[in-house]
Amino acid sequence: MKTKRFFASLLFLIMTATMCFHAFSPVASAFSDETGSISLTITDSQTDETVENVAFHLYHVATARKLGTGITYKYNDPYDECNMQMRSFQNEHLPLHLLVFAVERSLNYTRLVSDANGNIVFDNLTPGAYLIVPDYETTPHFTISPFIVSTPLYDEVSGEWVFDINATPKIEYRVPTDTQEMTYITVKKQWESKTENPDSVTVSLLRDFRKVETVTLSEENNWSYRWDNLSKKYAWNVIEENVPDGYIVSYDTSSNTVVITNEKPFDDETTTKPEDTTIPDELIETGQLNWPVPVLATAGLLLFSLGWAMLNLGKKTNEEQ
Amino acid sequence: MKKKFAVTFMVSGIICICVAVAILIYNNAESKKAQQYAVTVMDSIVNVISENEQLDYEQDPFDTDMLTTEIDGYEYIGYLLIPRINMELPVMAQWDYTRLKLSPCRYYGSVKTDNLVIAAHNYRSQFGYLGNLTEGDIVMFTDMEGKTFTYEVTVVELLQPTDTGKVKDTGDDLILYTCNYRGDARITVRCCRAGNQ
Repeated sequence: MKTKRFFASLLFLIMTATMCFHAFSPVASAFSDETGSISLTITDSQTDETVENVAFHLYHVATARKLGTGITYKYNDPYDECNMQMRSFQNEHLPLHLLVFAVERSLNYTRLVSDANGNIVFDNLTPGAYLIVPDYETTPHFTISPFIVSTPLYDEVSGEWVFDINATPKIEYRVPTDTQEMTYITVKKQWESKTENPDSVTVSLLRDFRKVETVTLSEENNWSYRWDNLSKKYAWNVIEENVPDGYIVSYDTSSNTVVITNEKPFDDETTTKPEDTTIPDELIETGQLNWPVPVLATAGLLLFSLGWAMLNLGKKTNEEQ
Repeated sequence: MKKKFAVTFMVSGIICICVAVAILIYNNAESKKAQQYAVTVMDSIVNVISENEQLDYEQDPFDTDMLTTEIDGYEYIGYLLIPRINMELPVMAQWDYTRLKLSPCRYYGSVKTDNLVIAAHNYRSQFGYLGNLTEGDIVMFTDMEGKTFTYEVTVVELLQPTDTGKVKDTGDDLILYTCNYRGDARITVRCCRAGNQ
């Protein structure tokens, strides 16, 4: 059994070391007082030339924490209210969801502009996950999707933690400004819960990652909406705003349709439900009834001895008389 | 008359001793039952963890909930190992008094947020020897994903039953507690992550 557990632990270490999200591979560390940096180099994908005067906004969305031999992230306040969990940073909707969440609440960010060499350095960063969003006013000729970067990251080659991260934002496409082509996007709402769901939700249409229109989905429109005549000059996305408490949102995009699912985690019915565990202001009573044992045993011995003594001393006295 | 008193005392004494023995037997039986249950569940837990480690499932870096596994109708979050007192026990995901009779239970928190609190009975087969731990002793917790978290004991103290604020989100990475012998206080062991984890 011990050997099996040893190998299981060894296997886990190997698995953790290879765990990766985005283009990087973070593993555990003691992130005590160290700080990191994120350097961006903005390069035009068509000309390979660096681009200056492109501004980026940096949002600190989560704090990195040690996780045994791994790493985990905890949303910073108030991002923990965004009600979206991710299997990895690769999910394209996570940065969009967080971006809308942050912009709607006017959350703090750091803004820097690329220098003549196309470089931007966000430094003195506490370990965590950072949402990086171009200031689209400064990117009129191309589009860069928002993305998330973590510092630190684990370099498997050197076997060391890297706190200073270099990232090259992906210029996704150059906007064909002369196109007249139109497209459409349909959003559908799904619920996965066994309880009664809210009557409506709000979804927003994003054009080049900025909110342009909001609609309400409900039974009246069969939890669905379609936007037509959308210019192909832009990137179009749909994000749910204000995900109801207790629900976790997920997005599934297939061609021109975005399915937004709100799931309410519920207990597995095969498991035994806990009894009422509400004992306010008290730690659980976790003791056996032990104290009566020595008390009763001592009392019993004393009583028996006393009785025995009374009986026998009385007998002796009688005999002597 | 004197004889009558003497006999009454002796009979009372015998009754007291019998009750004490009965309580002792009952407590031992409870402890033994918990021990047998733990042994059975531990085998299942170790098997499930081995299987989970083989799965190529994606990690959720934002998910602070611990993976749970249902065994025999109860959900478990992993197992505890305390070498100093030779203790290896499964830990249930939720607590109630029925569960506590079988296994230590999560009272609060998660290993992923470094605020896990585990409570158990003071059976000799459970946390009965918790008070023997001293600063620097090693406590290990392995979750259902197979991750092993190693802790060092930092403080062993007695808390009053009303001291709930002293176990929830205190900054301690792990807290274990159980009743003292008299049941009027809680032996509480505070731990922090060991070494460079």
